[in-house]
Amino acid sequence: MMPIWLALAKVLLAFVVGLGVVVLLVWFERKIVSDLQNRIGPNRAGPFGILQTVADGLKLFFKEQITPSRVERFVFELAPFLAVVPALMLFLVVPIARPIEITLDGAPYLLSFAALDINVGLLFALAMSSIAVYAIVLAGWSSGSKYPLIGGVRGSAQAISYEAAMGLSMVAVVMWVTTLPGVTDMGAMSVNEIVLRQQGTFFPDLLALSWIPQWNLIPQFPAFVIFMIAIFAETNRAPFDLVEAEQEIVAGFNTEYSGMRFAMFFLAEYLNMFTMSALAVSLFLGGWGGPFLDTIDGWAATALSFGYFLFKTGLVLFLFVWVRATLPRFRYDQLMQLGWKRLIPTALLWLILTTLVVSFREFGAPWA
Amino acid sequence: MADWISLPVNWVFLVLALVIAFAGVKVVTSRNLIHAALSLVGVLASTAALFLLLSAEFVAWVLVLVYVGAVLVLFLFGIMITRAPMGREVSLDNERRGLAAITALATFALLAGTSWVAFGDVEIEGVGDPITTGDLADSLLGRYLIPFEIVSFVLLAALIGGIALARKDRSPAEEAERTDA
Amino acid sequence: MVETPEISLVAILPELALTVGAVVVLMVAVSSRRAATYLPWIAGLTVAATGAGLIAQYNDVAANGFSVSYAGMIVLDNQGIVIRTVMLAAIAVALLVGWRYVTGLGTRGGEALSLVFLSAVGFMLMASSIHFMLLFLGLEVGSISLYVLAALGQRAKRADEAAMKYFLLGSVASAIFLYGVALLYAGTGSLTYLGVFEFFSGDTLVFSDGLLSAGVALLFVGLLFKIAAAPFHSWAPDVYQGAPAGIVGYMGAAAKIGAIAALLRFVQVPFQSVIESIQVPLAAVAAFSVVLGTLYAIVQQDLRRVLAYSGVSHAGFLLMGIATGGVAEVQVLFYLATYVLVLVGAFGIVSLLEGSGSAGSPIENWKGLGRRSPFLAWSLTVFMLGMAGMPATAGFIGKFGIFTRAWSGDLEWLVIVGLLASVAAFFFYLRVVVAMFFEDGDGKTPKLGWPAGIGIGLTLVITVGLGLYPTPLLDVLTAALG
Repeated sequence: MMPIWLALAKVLLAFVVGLGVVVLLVWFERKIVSDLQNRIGPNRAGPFGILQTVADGLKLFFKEQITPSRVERFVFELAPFLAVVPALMLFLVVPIARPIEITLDGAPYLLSFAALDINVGLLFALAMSSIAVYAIVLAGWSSGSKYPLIGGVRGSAQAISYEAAMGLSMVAVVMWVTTLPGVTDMGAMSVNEIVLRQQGTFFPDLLALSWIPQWNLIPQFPAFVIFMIAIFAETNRAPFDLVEAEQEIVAGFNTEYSGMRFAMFFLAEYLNMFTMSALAVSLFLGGWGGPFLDTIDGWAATALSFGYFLFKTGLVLFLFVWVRATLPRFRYDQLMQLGWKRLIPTALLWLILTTLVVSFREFGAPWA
Repeated sequence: MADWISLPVNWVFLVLALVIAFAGVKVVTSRNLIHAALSLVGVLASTAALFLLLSAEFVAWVLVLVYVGAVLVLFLFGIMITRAPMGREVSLDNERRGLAAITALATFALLAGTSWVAFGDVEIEGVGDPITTGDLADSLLGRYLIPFEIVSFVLLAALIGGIALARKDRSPAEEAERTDA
Repeated sequence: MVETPEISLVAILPELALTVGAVVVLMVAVSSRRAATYLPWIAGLTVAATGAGLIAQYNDVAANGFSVSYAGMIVLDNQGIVIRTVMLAAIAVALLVGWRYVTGLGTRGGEALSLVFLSAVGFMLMASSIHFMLLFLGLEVGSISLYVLAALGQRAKRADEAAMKYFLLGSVASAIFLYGVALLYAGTGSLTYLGVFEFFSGDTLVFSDGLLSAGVALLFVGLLFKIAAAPFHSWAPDVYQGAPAGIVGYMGAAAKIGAIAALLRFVQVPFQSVIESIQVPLAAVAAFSVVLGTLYAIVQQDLRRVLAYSGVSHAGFLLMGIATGGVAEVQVLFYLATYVLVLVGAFGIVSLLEGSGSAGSPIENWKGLGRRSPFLAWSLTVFMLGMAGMPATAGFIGKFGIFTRAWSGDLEWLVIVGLLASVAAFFFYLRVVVAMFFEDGDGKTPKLGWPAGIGIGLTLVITVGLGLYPTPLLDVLTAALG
């Protein structure tokens, strides 16, 4: 049984890491986009403009929060919180560093760095990402104005459409890691467990190939592609940012929001991006795993694994930004076509294929 | 009784039960469709929390994922794409309130009575033992294999029905055009 | 390692064949532009495959005796096979006589066909289920498919009303049934037929317990609704009148087959030891259905409504056999088989005369049909006489069997009620006959295609054949059900 203070400390750590990364992420995105567009970008606040987000945040904090007269006040004020909470919660199941053996009350204790190491972690992640859409829908409705409403309706349809594909790609991963050779116990819906089962290499005996890490990315590449597309849509990022398509519906669901409430939506979007990337890293890219972890031990290894985790997440985040700067926005019907007619069938086919391979691996050939 | 109060779990249960009851009443009495839907979210989320209290994590999160995350979002989608009402609506109310209340109370009495007759105040062993997802999968694809598959038939039939009834028939001219193309 | 229950493919072969058929029909209908040319072949193959599955099942039971599989969910025995055979026959005849309706639906024809197969899967599972959960799911698969089938036809006010009524009332009935299952579970702690049987025959007999009685009552009410027994019949006339004629015969037949199959098993296993307590209410419902169905049928002006109310009284006759306990299964099954075939055949003729888009078939329209289309008029006459229980038709043998069983089962008063009603029933069955042959009218002249001709001819042969020489079938049934 974990003491309460430790649980609280873990949650606190997760929040600090999440919020800290978000502050950097906003700057990171602006810098990258400006580089890709041959501009300079923020460069005044702090070295390389790194404090720009802090400055913006302070500015928004002191701005007046305008409440238009036709809003549904209670829901209108609730929506920004609903945006932030699921994003923060989702991050709780992601292990950010290698577990470490410590002594707790005189007994050895394996300290894992996932704040919430539950055995249905992936389900929890899916559930949280599915309720994130409430913020958009409710913000859009409660604003009492037509553009936000359109944004909200788009958001709900989009979330439902892509959640299915995302869940299906996750199922393929769970089946794959559950039946890895040498694994005897069942059940790997815990994100922590999935990361653990990706440590090691595919061909430990072949010297030339022994460096290839045992990441799900390789055997589950189609699932990875589906998952990435789905999380772009789930986080409402370009090219799926129809909920706030500025050419069509002003700023979409958050048109009527200002000041700190707007800042919370902004925060939630980047937090979602970060947590989804972290989830992608955990599911497909070996989580905190990396070279030389076995050669050192203690807190140094934990710190190194945390570094690996941040680095990989940074790569995925770079992909987010890169895509945003490159691709134009989908039309709404294209979005729906892609979701229902391409992504979900592909995910189902891949799931069936994985099932066949997995049952072959588990039970042997049917003709044997 | 003293035992009951000393267990924190019971307090959590009490709070959740009160939330469920209150939100449940709000679902049917609210004069605004969206508020009613949101109250339903409250009911379902608290029910999920009840499952968590029973260590049924899988069921709890599936409840959140499917009902809160998908079904009610679809409700909201449906409401917003059609009317998106704000403020009170008189048409949500009707004269049979009293009758409905009596029916609801009678149902409650029946269910409560059944539970009391069936279980009394006997403490049931094994409730609250954690059930792993693997156990659930074993019983769904083992003992309950056939019902599990048949449920998908129910969905299939409903799906065919929904699509076949909602789809607009193409006129003969359009049909011919499509065949030519 | 995963503990797998005993999986017996042979126990679900017919359902598997129908499922595959339903899915293939659906896929072909959406993906092929020439779907209409493939549909008859797929339908025929599916029916043939289901029949082959039934034969395989029969051989299995003949070799190994009855068997229980899927962790006590499904039983494979001769009674189930017989009921499923009746179901298959109903599908075959319904598709033959209603084929014009299916093709007339255009792009929805594939969906209709697929729903017919799906509903059959549901009702067939009701016949082999020995678990209340599976029973409920079978009922739902079947019922939901039928709700949609009722709504699929052309849009007319009356058809929409019928479909909506069927859906709403049917859903309430399903809910009542499910409530009954829940209370039964709370009372007995078991959902398997065997577990409930053991509970009732054990020492812990607490049937006086109000909640448990309420549960059992709700369970029966749910099923009685599906067979349209009075006083749970109010949906039937409107639905029979408004739903597309090409499918309404099958709808009535399929729901009756499934629910009667379940009721038969109820009195055989779970509630066998408390049959005394159930018999009186069941017999009362039977008597009420017979009387009410007959009286109301007499005053109807529309053949469809006549058939609906006659369905109510037939439900009463079937219940009469069930109320005697598990011993009358041969008679009940014989009656069920002949009734559903005649029903499907009769509605086939209705749909030929009225076209599938119509809602209602007033007696007016039937006047003079004897001259315009003698074959159909004579067929309908035979069907009507069959339903009435005229000697030399299968209906007579069925009624006779039920009456003898009920008489020897100490339900003499019920038999007398049934006899009186049967005599009175001749009046309304013969009215349309009189209209067809002795009254002049200039209604439509139906066009008879060869599928419908084969379907009606087949039903005709069965009705008369079994009426004149029922011994072989009765012997087979008696030997199989023993």
